[in-house]
Order: sequence, then C-alpha cells, then structure tokens
Amino acid sequence: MNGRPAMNLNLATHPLRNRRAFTWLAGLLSACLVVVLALAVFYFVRYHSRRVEAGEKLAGLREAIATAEDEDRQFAERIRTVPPKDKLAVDVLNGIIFKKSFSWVDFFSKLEEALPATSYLASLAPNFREDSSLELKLKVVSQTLDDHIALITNLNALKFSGIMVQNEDRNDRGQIVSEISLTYERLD
Amino acid sequence: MTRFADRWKDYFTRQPLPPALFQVSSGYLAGLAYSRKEGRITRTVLLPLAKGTVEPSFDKGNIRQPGLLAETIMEAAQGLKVSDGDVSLLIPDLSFRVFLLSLDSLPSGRSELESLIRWKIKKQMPLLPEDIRISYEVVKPDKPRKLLVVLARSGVIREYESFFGKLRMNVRIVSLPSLLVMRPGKADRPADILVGNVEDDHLALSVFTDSQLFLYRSKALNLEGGEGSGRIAMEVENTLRFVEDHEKKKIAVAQLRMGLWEGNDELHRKLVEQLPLPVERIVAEKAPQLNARERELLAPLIGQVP
Repeated sequence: MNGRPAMNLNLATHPLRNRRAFTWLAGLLSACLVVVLALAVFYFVRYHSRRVEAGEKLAGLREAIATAEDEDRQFAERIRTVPPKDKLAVDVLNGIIFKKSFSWVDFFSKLEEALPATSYLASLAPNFREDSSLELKLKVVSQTLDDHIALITNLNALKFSGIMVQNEDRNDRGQIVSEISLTYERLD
Repeated sequence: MTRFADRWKDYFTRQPLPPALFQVSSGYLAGLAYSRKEGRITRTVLLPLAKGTVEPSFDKGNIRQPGLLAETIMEAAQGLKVSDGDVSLLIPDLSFRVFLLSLDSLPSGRSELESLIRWKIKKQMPLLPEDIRISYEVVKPDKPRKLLVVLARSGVIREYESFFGKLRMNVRIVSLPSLLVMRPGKADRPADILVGNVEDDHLALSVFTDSQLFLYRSKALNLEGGEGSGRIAMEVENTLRFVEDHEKKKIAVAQLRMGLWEGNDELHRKLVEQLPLPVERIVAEKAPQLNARERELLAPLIGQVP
C-alpha cells in the first residue's frame, strides 16, 4: 500500500469505471482511420486527376485520329471527284512517271531467271497499261515440252500474272515455239 | 522510470471522480465539488446532522430520518452548486466489514477470486449474508499477497443510492472514509505507523508496518461524554500491543483524523496525554484555502481527490 489509500474500492451498483484506456485506444484507432482516410482521399484525388488528365489526352488523340480520318476521307472524296480532265492529265503524268521509273534491268533479270537454260526468247512485245502494269507478249522457243512447262511454272513462281499460252507450235527443227501473254507488275 | 510507469498505471486504472462528493456520517454531512477540468476543489460544505438522522449499521438500513437528511443534502448541494448528476458517497465505516486477507496466489479469473474471497471470509464470519457486495484491492503484490476486502450489504448500499436517486443524484462511488484519511496526511510519514479515523460513533484503526498495511480494525464507540478519549486510548493501546506481539515492531507515531463535529481539540489533547506515543492530527494538505477544522473534517473527501 505504501501509505497510499485504497482509491478503487467501490461498492456502488453502477460504479464509475476508468475508461481512459478505451478512450485512448478509440482515439488511436480514430487517428489511424483519419490517416488512412486522408491517404485514401489523397491518392484518390491524385489518381483521379491523373485519370482525368489521361482521359483528356486520350480524347485529344481520338479527336486527332478522327480529324485525320476525316481528312483522309475528304482527300479520298476529292480524289474520287477530281474532274475527268484533271484525271486524264493525272493519269498521263502518272504513266510518264511510271515509265520513267520502270526498271527494265529488274524485269529482264526476272525473265532470265524464269527462262530455262535451253529456251530462248524469239520476240517480246511490251505494252504499258493504264494501271501502271506492263502487258507482255512473248514468243519463246523451248527444246522440249518439259522446258516449256518449266518456263510456265517459273513465271508463275516469280509473280507474273495473267499467264496465258495463246499459241503453240513446232518448227521444222522440232522445237516448241509458243506465244505467251502475261502481265508484270512492279512489287516495290 | 518506475515513478513514470506508476503514474501511467495510475492514469489508466484510477477510478474517475464525479464532480460532487459527499460524506454522510452520524454527526454531519460533508460535501466537496471538484472540477476535473481545473483539477482543483472548487467548493466545500459542512453541515451538522441531528442525532439519530443516520444510524450506521452493517445489517440494517441506516437512514432513520429521511426528511431531515434530504433537506441537509439539498442544502449541501446548493452550497456546492450541484443539482444533479453523478456523485461519490462515503458512508460510515460501520456500514462495512473490512478484511485483510493473505493469499499465496491470486486466481486469474475475477469470479474465481471472488469465490476464494468469500470462502476465506466465511472462515472468519460464518453467518455471511447472501446479499453482500465485495470490493477488493491488492495491497501487497509480492508473496504472501495481501488483499484488502471491503464488504457491505446490498440493501444498505441501495438505501443510500435510492435516497440520493430521489434527489436526482446518481451514486457512482460508494466507499468508506477511514481508508481515505490516509492520503491527506504527511507524505514523509514513518514506515511503522498507526492511522486512525475517529467519528462520533466509531473508531477505525489502520496499522502500517514497513509501509505495508498490516492491520485494519473498526470499533463502534459512543464518544459522547468525557469518557471517549479513554475508550479510544484503550483501543489504540490494545492495537499497539497486538502489533508488537505479532510483528515485533514498535509503532513510531499515531496519526488520527478527528471527525467529531465538535470537541476535536479537547479529544486530541486528552489522547496526547493518555497515549504512550506521539499523536498527530491528520489534516488534508491539498486544500490550503480551507481552515484546519474544515481540512480535518473533509479529509476523507479530499483523500479521494487525485
């Protein structure tokens, strides 16, 4: 007892209790809750504003895309509605540009690649078409039927299109002379 | 560090104090208003009670003249400027039984401890009534542990509670004055000391040896007339002899709180003459604004103030 009184002796029906520990605990929990809430609000506001910012940027991008698409559509429309006179001039110009830029070296190297070693060209008649492709009529002399078939297969493999054997004949030396029409398109 | 820990423990365990404190004795009614916010006593009141208004008893109802007591309480409440709310109430020591029990170990559960206390008390008080209330406090935590146990009958406590309840006051603390007079005494008291509370109708004595509560006893006395001091001196001497026989200790000083409405100085003078040891009076040091008589009569109430 150390001379101290018996302070907590109490026989009341509804005794007063020291609830300081509970009050402190409640206060501490409330403080924690307030801190957590403050952090939650802080992060919510922060990320909400970032989300809004990102949303705005996204909307801007969408708008830019839509504008670009609109412009694209408008250009396409304008191209479609170009007057025939202008179109003719454009086609002529395009044709000139195409012819100027056409690589005969590439064309002949491909043709050479397709031609079997024992076959040779007898004649070649090129004709530029309006759609920037080259229409060809070839007269090829092959030693055997196999060479002739190999030629057709190689032309197919080298992306020549519209391959059509129009005439096939044997000359007096027994060689096969065939007339082939095909189309060559630059791929680059 | 220990002092700091004690202060924290005290802060979290000390019973809170309501704003108004009353003490009902057979001779007077004492009241004290305490401001928890300011941490000070704001008002005090002391009013005499007519003889027979309250007759303290452990078994029977105490209030004999309820009208008179109610009037006095209302007058005291007006003096304290309290009209309703929670109050603390000290009722006469004779309404309680106090035991000092030695236990080798304390059960951890509250109900187990109360059963053990009842069992121990029944050994000393075989006809223990069923309707008793128990309050206890560990006064010596190291082995053998000592427990200060206070008993009162529910009927007696309820009588006071319902009486104050009718006057719109909720009694939230009920305790006994003699255990609270120890606090207002001198802080540097000797380790072996006898502390007494003298009231009109009884005497309560507590003996501390090595600063530990060793003995508590109360005795009903009729202190009217000139023979009061002789009875008190005899009881004190008997107690001193008992302590000397059992503890082989010599009590250095007796500190007595004189709780008579009148005649305290005369009684003290006689006791100084009759007792073989120095007899000091307990005067509350906490309320310097009060005069010595008020501080002596209000000592148990002031003893509740932290």
